[in-house]
Amino acid sequence: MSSGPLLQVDNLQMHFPVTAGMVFRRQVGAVRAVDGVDFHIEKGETFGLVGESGCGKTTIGRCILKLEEPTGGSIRFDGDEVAHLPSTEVKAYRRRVQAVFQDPYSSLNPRMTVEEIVGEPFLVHKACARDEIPGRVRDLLSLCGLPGRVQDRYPHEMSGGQRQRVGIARALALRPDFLVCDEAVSALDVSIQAQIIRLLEDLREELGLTYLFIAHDLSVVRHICHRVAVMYLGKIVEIGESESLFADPKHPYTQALLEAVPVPDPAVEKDRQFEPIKGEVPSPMNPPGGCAFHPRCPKAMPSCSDLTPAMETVGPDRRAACPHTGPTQAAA
Amino acid sequence: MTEVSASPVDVVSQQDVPPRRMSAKKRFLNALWQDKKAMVGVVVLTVFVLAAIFAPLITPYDPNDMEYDFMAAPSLAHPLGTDDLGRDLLSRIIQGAQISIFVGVSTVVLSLIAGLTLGILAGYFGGWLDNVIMRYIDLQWAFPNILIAVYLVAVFGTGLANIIAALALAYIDDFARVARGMVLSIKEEQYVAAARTVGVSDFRIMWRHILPNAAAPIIVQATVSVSYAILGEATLSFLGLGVEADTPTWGLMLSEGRSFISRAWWIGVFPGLAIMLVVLSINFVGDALRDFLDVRETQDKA
Repeated sequence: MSSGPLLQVDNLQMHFPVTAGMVFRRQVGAVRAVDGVDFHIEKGETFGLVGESGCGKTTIGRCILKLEEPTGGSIRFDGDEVAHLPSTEVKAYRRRVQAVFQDPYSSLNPRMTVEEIVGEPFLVHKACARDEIPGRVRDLLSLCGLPGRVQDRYPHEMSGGQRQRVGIARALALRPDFLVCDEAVSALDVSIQAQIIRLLEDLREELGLTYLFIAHDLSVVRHICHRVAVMYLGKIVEIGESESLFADPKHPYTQALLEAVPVPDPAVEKDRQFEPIKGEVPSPMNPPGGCAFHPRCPKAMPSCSDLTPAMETVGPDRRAACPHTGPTQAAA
Repeated sequence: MTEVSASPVDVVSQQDVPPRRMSAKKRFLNALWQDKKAMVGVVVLTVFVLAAIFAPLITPYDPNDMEYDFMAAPSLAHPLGTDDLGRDLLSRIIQGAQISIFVGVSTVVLSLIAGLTLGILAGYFGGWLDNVIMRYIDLQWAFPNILIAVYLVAVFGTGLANIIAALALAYIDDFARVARGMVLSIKEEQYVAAARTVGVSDFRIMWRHILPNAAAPIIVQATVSVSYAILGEATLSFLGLGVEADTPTWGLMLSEGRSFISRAWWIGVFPGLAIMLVVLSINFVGDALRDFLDVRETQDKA
């Protein structure tokens, strides 16, 4: 095992071609779902990826999970390049990197029992003898807080929280090091969310897991993540240590996102004044020139439409891509 | 549900697990029992299948004996009457059930296997494979199924095996289309992504994750197709492209009866009724099967 970060993503790009024509297909453009993203995740930490729908956060997760082949850049896992793995090595990689999906209703095959779902990784990887699978599944289920009785149930016979536990049990079957949690709690009731988050945190400590936590719910991310990256239109606009980023956001987009989070106190919320972000997210097929956020940015200057801001260090362990974030900003 | 011991993570999730229901087989028989139409279908089909199997034992007369009064109206001696050559219609219909049901079922089995394979491969892999397969299916779709069967039989000759092969080939496109459509929607489901993440092979994903979830519309298509295949065989026989002329098949009998419909209605009507009863029963059973296979719907009813 190398001493570097567990996951290192450099200049990752995922451009989906847009084609036209029925007979002679030609590429007329590309959706730049992910457009040059860098970040790293240290072993044992929970790294958050936040942003509006369509900003590319799920695509990054899919690239890491080898569900998409990135069109550019590199993903190094534990020191090894995995962005373009030969199919013979993918299987070994999958033992170490697993996922918990968003929707506990559609992430479990409705025609398989819990035992078949959670036992499938063992079967596929021949990780243990066939007759050992029921026992292994039982252990995993109890690790995830489910009684053994659910083993022969079908997904539709369980509640959302229970299904998500089954999804977590399946992800843990191969004893992975790294878990991509793609909106893992977004589809659940708030009370169930808290339970699942607690379960994920307990498991991380118990099993020494590392998480990439993809979410749009900022309060959840703030609670669970050590470090956070904020994405906008396929790019990271701000990245840093979670607590300080939430306490003192530098990038105007992060600031706007945080302001949009309602305060859970009606008295405060009623009088609270904030500017909602104007307009819609532009099309990633044709992103605005310069800083992609400038058409919606309250601090935009004429130069923002020409110059693409680079990520710069704007504080201890904090980087942001906006010229307004520097120490001289207060004067401007 | 108090016997469950508390887990350190939390107790809440353990309390609302519903008690296990009946086994799938038991539930199916239960559902069948409550669905009157399906029951009728099962009874009628059972009667016809048994009649087909035991035809030589239960036909009251030799189906090809021409020694009785010709065009005799239904009577005690000949419950369904006799045809223009003086053959007993009941015996011929019982004998004809063999051919009709055998052709119907084997056509669909062949067609289902081939069509599903093509449709699932096209839908799952997409790209050029999808293009090649689906352009062929489109081509076939542009012609009426029965025309394709007629053409194939005309080229390769009549006979039971050829008729089944021709009909099976003619109905492939229906299965391929239904299967491809289902695969296209199911392969976007998160459980397919989850299976890929776990490292499940393409073949196992198609077999274990996609096929079972595509089963309901495919089964409906299959039941409809059994009726079509029976009708198809009848049509080929009607057109003189069926099994040998002296083999009693429902389609052939129907076509012969057509000429005498005003003088002896029973010659054409009874074979037609037999076709209708079997086709209708298959559809009833198919509907029940579809309802049962829809997990979410079954859950709501429970």
